[in-house]
Amino acid sequence: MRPRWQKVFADLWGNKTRSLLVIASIAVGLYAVGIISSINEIINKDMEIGYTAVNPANLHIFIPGFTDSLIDKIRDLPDVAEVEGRRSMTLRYKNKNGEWDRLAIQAIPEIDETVINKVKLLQGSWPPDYREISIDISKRNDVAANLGEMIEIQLPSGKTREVKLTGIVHDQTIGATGGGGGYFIAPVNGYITVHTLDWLEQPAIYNEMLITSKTGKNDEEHLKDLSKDVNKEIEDYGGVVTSTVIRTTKSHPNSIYIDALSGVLFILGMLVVFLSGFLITNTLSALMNQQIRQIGVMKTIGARRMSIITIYMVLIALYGAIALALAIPTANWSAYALVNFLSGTLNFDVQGYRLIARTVFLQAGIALIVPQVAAFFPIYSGAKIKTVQAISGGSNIASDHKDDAFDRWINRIRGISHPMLISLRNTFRHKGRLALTLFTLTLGGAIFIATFNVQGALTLYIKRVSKYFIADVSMTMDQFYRIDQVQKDLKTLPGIDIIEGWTYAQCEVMEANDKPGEPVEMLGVDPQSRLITPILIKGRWIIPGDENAIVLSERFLSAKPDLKVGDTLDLRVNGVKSKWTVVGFFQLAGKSTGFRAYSNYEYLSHFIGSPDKAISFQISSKTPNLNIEQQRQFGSTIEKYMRTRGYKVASVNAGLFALNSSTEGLNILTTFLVFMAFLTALVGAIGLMGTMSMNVMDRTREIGIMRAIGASDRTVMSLVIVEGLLIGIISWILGSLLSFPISNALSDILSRALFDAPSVLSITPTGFIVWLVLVIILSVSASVIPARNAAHLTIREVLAYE
Amino acid sequence: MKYAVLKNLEIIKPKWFPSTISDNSSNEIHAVESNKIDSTVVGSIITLQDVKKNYQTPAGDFQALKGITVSIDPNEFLCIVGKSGAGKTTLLNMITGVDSISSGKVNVNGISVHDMSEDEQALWRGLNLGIIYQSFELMPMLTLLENVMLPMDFCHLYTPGKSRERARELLRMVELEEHMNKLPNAISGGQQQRVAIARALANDPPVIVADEPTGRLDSTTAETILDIFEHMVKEGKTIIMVTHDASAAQRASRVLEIVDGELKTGDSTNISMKSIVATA
Ligand SMILES: Nc1ncnc2c1ncn2[C@@H]1O[C@H](COP(=O)(O)OP(=O)(O)O)[C@@H](O)[C@H]1O
Ligand SMILES: [Mg+2]
Repeated sequence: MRPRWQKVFADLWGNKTRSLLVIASIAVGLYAVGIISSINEIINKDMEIGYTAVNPANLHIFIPGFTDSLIDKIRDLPDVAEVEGRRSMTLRYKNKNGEWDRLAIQAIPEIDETVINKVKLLQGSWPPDYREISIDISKRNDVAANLGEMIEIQLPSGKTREVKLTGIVHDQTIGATGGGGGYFIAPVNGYITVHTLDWLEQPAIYNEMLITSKTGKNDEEHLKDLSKDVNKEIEDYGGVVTSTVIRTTKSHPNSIYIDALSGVLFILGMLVVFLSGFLITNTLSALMNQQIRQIGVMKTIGARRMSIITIYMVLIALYGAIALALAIPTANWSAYALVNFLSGTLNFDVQGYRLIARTVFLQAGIALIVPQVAAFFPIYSGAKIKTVQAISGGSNIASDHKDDAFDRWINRIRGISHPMLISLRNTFRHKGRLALTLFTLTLGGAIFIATFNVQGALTLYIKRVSKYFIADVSMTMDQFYRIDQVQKDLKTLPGIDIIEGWTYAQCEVMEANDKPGEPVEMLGVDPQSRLITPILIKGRWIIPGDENAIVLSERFLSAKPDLKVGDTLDLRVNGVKSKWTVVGFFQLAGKSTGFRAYSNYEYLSHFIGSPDKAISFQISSKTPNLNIEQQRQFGSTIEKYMRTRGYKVASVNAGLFALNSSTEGLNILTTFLVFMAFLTALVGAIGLMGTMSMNVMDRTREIGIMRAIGASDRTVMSLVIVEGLLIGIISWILGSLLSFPISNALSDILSRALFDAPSVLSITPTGFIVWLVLVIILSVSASVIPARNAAHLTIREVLAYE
Repeated sequence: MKYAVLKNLEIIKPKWFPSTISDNSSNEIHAVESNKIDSTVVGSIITLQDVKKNYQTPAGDFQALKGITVSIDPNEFLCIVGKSGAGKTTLLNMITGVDSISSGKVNVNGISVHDMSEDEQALWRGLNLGIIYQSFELMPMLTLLENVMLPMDFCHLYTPGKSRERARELLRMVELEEHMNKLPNAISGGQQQRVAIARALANDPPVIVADEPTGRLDSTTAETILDIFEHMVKEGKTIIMVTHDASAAQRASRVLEIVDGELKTGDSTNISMKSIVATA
């Protein structure tokens, strides 16, 4: 090999620490960019592809009873691709704790030939046979039975049956009908054939119609038109539609979380691309700075500018290529680990392990182009530098440094120790480099702090959501009971503090064509309830004396953007068409929690003809702050007691259980943000290490000279450490400031995706503190190691050091 | 490619560029490249005419060379002495072209040094000057052999195989052939300086410029370096050496003293040893 290429390789292998630093700085940026870009691509694509693959229903029409003849009729409509009828019901089963819990069952005809809302078999067999059931994987752990074992089911009559568990399936459409709530608060889902219906005391008729569109699967307006046609056809046939849910083939029920993540990832991705660009620039300019003397010597022995530029461009290309080779597989692997976590919790299917082309291109671009661009200026000016300057070290030339006001100010500082003064002057001596270092660290710190802030904001938000679930136990009955009676009976149990009765009505929003659309859950609560503290986005909460006033969930805001406080909303409440006045909007746990409305108990209970009665009872214990186990205990005591008193209890839920299931989607985002924070911390940390170490390496000669004139190792070390700390702390201050706009942008994106509402900036001290500690630890250790190395060189070695 | 470079150079600088690429059949260094020194050229190989050099400093302009005129004959062993800060290094920089001139002319072998572009200068230097520094300035990452090969690599004067052969010969000449695969920091300062000399001779330049080459060496080591210099003069090289070392100056054929950027007038060959010792 020719000596000049020999030099390239020798530079690469000869100074392993420096090469490692350069490669690590490039690789860590590529790693972060790779993870972010891959996750973004995988979640967006795979959720959509996987969901489309199950051929989800575009129209979900609820009709109390219909048969195959209506299905045949609808199938003849021009734009209908497929139609299926199903019967769905909610029964009770004995869960792994031995409690009766809800089990949502779908009975499917010709179950092995179903084409809409297809499920994927994971374990066991499909389809279930007579008296057999398959259940969905998501809440599978609530069910004690293994494959081949029996699940105990309670029928409406109170009789119990045992069905055999024969399959575990994956159903991505859970939560798609969006009425009561999303995927997270859905009960266990089971699938049976229609032949088992009779045995479960169910009529063998359908109550849900699933339809797919031929031409407009992803066009919401088109689907609305289709819905009108279908509704008309059903009515012409004598059917009654209770509600209709429209959903495009692309919109997975949990897509809002992916949208939120995507938005966050996009911003973080951009910032991280910048960050790694700066990191690379910084490291390479330090590298070039160390090479100036060698450049000078090469010039005196005949190297022309192009030769020198080529040597360094090849060297840097090698660094980039090594970093790329490290970053591509690790980033891809990590992205998949995260995506697997997300797919499990957000109920979508990952389309298999693959390299994401966009990510690889992006990484390759950054690895091969950014370093060249970043190094171009230092290389070019290094190659251009006057030979005489290069030989004399490049920087200690009187004529290329002019003291400015800042230097004079620094030089005027008196009254601090001498070593301190040297550190201070050193820090500010190379202002270009300092600016670059500071910028990199500031950006890294700001992103880190911002992810903490956003995550803090989400956690805070989840805490606020808990104010909807203040009661320790929520007990739902099979029928309405007088509130005063229940209160009187329950008060005989010890430990009970508050008992509130809430009423409930099933409603549908009336569409413009006077047909019932999306189902809405309406709760009637006491305006002065002590068991609910709503989070209001707009307007007000219900107040005593309110009549047809309703407060709506955030889902309405996204579904009906024109709806405002003061508007009148047409609803069908328990089958009765009526007009309601919107007085406010509240936030729950995001748009996926579905259409909900709160109204005044007094009014609603009269409206539905059950005054002074309630179907749901919220009960709190005298002991504050029960944990979820204690709440369960409390609930089962109440349930047993109520049963002995002859009450028909449908279900009993712990308050924290309801909270946890409704905020699970938010928790996933929180977890994810914690990961992102650590990822940026990693980039920042390695960047800091690299920059600091390169800075100190730059000084090796100077350190040797200081020792030669009598500075002790301790003095030298403290000089370097103080300088590192100074840079670290300045970057922390700047990063803290910059974290505000970044936090704001991130929380705004999250908030708009989740709630359709702009966010209120929330600042948590954790991120600031953690980053400060990290910066201090990192800047000290990043300075100490190279400084110690420098201090251990003999003076002769140092003076000969390049 | 190589041909193009050579051809191009021939058009611009036909005079100093070797007319034939040396054939390296002989192991004797002096026999190989002696065709480069054109002994028929009458007069000086290097002339400086009223050379001035100003530095811009925060305190204003500083004149380091105040108009130096001197001629150097082929095959001279010229020594430049003077106090620290007198302008010796600056003067060498004017001859080698590594720093820009403020006014005046420097002519080496018929080439006006400061009328070339940076890149032309670099290649010209690689072929015509061997520069030796007090601090050796070897590439720390390259072996001794690679260090010596590097100038040949940059100047394309020899094929890779030839240049390796030649580098070995040069290292043999400075008695370091057995260490040729070591890195510079594995050998002593004197040995490093010998490698630097071998490197300076790599492209067989007619002129060697050395800035205090023995300044970092003990006196016995310094003697061996000076022996090599004398040997080079015998081979027909022209040597310009800055030194503080009285015994080094003794070996010179002529001694010039610089005082505050000016040549000290008078017969400088007879400069008293006392004054040289005083500057050390
Ligand atoms: N780059 C420079 N900028 C300003 N002054 C310089 C520079 N280089 C050298 N000098 C000054 O020029 C004078 C001559 O320097 P130099 O030629 O290095 O002296 P020496 O004879 O010791 O080699 C000295 O006073 C020195 O301070
Ligand atoms: Mg000097």
